[in-house]
Amino acid sequence: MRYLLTLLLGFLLGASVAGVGLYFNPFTQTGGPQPDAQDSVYTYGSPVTAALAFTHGNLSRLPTSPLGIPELWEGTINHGALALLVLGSADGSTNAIASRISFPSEGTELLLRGAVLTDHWLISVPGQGSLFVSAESNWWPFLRDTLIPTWYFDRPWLGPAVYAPTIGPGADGKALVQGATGAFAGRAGTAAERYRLEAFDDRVGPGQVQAEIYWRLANEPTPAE
Amino acid sequence: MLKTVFISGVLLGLATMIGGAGFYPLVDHPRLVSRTQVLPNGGRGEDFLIRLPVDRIVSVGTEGLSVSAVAFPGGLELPDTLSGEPSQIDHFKVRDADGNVIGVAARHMLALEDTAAVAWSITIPSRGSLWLTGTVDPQSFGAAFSGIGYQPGESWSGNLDLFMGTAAESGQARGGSAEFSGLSGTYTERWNVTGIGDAGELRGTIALSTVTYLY
Repeated sequence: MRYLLTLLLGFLLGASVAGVGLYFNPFTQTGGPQPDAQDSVYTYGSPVTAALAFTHGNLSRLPTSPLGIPELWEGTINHGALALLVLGSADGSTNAIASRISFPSEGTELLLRGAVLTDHWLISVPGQGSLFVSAESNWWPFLRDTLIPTWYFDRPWLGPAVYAPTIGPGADGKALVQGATGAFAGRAGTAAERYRLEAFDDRVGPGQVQAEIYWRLANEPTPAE
Repeated sequence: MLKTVFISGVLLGLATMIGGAGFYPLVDHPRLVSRTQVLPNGGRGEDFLIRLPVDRIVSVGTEGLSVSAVAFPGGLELPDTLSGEPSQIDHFKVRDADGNVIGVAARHMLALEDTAAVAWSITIPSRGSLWLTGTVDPQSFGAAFSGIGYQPGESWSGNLDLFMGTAAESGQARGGSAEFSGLSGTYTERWNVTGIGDAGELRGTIALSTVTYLY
């Protein structure tokens, strides 16, 4: 009995040490790519509180909107979320509308990749065309630094904070873009996201966010042309 | 001896946690059997169904690209900056051929010069996202309803079959992500409308029939 208790005590100690190591694991703290001068940059507000519409599978405390929007309650989709977002170009000249369907990725693991979210975007610029974006983002830095301490340990939030979560699925760590219709048809490229979190609310989570999605398509004319 | 047991326990705990973090499937989406069929002349066929109005999640748009441009939930509007060019943005739950909900779809229709372009992103969590694009005559929907005597603002019931594009082809399958990356092919989009409610909501079924190939 004494040996068994000793083994159990050692096991718990080892598991705890590994748990702390995983929580602060440097391999899952990677930052994503930043925009450069040739990228088309579009900004938007919080996907939760500033979206035209937001719904999920009711497994989260995040509020849905507007009133009366159906939840994604079916067992095959209830871990997902849908946001309808208005995007504005950095110079304010163009607006776009984006549907973003997000699900936790089956590629999530806390040793090397982190808490991975898969986003499928369909972005349309009225009068110009649409494009598809397939993205994978590591949200472990956000969970570790913001959500877990604030929501589960009642710690004060030490913001603001900037997150560049995109990690793929492109080989260079960027999201993949495929032109769909209009001026974007037939063109492929890459994309990434960056979030500046200005406020984090105990109840609704990310309250005030300046988010950016930036992409570059092959054969895209430069602004000078 | 006790010290050896303790150290063994520590190592076992470390190995279990690290192994679990690396190999335990933290996310494992439920997956129903894919209702695909191998076609006689090559390719793979798969049908996706959307039942209206129960599968509608969010719809918003401008006048001119749908029968009634009814927003859902009611009161939802595009901001002024996006209402200058005709567009219709819809989101639905998607079912397999057996009627089980398997995913979520976004459909964007934009007026572009003399035609309207349609893009579908069908996301199935366990399989990835399938991308479809096509073109339609922006007047065809309204003309078909005018042809059966429907007046906007009224309720209607009956049976109207509409193909976006043609009955043979509505557009192209453009691949997608995960399981759907590397696929190309065609699709047909058929709207079987059986009624329009007092609030302007459509009743019926949208059937997306895809034929895809590995390229």
